[in-house]
Amino acid sequence: MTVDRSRADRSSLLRSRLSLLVGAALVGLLVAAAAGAPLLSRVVGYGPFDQVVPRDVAPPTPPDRDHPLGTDALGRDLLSRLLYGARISLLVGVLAELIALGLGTAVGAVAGYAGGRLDAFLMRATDLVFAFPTPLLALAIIAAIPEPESAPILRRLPFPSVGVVFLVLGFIGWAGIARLVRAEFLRIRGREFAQAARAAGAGGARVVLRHLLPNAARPLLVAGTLGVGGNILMEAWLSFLGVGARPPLPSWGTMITEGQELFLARPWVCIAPGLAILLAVLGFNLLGDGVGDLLDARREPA
Amino acid sequence: MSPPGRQPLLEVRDLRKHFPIRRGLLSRVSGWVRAVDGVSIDIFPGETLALVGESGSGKTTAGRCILRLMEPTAGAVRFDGQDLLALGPRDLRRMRRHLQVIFQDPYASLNPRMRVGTIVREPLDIHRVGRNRAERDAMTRGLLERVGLDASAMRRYPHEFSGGQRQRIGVARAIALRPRLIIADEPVSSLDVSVQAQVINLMLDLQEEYGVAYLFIAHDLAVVERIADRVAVMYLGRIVELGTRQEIFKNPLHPYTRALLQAIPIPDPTRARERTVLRGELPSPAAPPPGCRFHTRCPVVFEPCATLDPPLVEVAPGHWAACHLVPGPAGGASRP
Repeated sequence: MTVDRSRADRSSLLRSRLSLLVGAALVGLLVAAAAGAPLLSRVVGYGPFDQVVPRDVAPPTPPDRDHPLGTDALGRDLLSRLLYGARISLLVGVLAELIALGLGTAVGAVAGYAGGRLDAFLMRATDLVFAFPTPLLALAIIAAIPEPESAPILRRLPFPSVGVVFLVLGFIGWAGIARLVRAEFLRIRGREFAQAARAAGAGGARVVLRHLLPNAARPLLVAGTLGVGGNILMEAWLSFLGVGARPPLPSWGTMITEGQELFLARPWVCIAPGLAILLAVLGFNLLGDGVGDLLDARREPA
Repeated sequence: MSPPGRQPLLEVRDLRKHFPIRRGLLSRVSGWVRAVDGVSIDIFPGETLALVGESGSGKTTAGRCILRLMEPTAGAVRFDGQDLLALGPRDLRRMRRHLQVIFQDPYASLNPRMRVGTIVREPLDIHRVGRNRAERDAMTRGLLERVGLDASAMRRYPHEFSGGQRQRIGVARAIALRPRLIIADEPVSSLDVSVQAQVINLMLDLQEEYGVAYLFIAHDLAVVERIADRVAVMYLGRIVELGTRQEIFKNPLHPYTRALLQAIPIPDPTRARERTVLRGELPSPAAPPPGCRFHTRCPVVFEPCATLDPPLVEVAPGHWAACHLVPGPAGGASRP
């Protein structure tokens, strides 16, 4: 496009570039930390479960040359735990969002394409999910499964206490995605290219998969990215309350819980995981916003 | 109304499409918009029937109902003697290869996420024409070249093309299956005049080559005069006049048709012309006027118009009109 952009347009484009850049950098850092945790912790010199403080010193010890972020109340290296914590956060955030995207897209696609009674029924189902505040709903469901280690299906997962969190978050998050997909489908379904496909003899599956879904991909991408950030926050909160990842797993939420009694006297035990959560969530939000703005700016005339 | 001795390709009988107006908490139906309210037309193989009228007259809705992109409320649509409205989903999809469509807006009618080659090949893919994908790609290349585009267009996306080129892509998609009827819904209304002529000429060439029939929906009578064999004039959901192009343009009988014709600009500043400007706007199809639907805007309205609905009668062979001022031949057959 060779259209002259006004100054306001340009500055908002710049802002969206900036948030895209910062968001991508933060998310990149998180992914690198999660992927490289075993390697990096070897560089650091300590594993996440090793008690590294000498017997004659009372942990937690403040940051020093050996432990750049200090150690926690049990004398474990905080940097190493933080790196492994990134794995839990990212894993739960992404897996929960994938479940939400899969379920939500399926439900929203059926509702938006079929319409009628089926649509009304499915939308009442999403209303049901929306009727409860998400954190309380998640808390209630997870509290109803007191022993994930012995629950069916869950016990086969490598870390049942983490598995239950992303499953529950995924099975709550679908409702918002379903609404989004349905709204997009209603908008696109009436467009002439979708009508042309039907007139050519395309069946429902072809219209949905080749014409409607690809044109709904942009808002889905944005919603999915923002959703990962939300899930990370929710996982940390649930773990903080003690219903998420169980000790000794180094979830950032658990780390804050473990440090909260010491917070006033030994603030570093909470500040490290707290900052990590903040930056991770901020990263996904900036990335989501940036991607959305960028796609909007490139959007061809509808 | 038919040129004698031929079987119509498409017969539309008393087609109606009424949209419910829903109000209130329980979405009770409080009224009906009679977008199409009893339309009957025939289209013969290889001819072009133009369906003209103002926006809101129901011509687009009629086209979509014939294609069953919308389910009509009542009426019959027979294609090659087969009742389209009775077909189940599978048979309907199979039948669709004979009936294709060209849309008005070449920006909305092509999927922005698909390459042009895929768009034009899609009808061939759906109906499994040819032995394999390579064969269909070759056919697609031929189609694009036939409508005057380079085969390199296949790998490009719709937004890389101009409006006229996009409409050519739409035409290529419509002729891919060699349909016998194409419903063209204002195919050139959104194009520049010079580009309009190119697309119209392309459509005429294709008609000569393949013998395809067109239902050409339009509001621009100058374009219609160029392409149509017969013309049906629609007002508020009904046909008010129907005849050959020569009859409609030389001897318009309905006052609405006359007003439409006088609205065509004549590129000759020295020629004075009589001009009837229609008063007011198109009445709401939710509450069509009683009697003749046109009487609220008619320049020659007289006493019976407000109470009696004039039937569509055959005034001369093949020329039908619905107006109290037009005397039918004694015992003239009135269409249902």
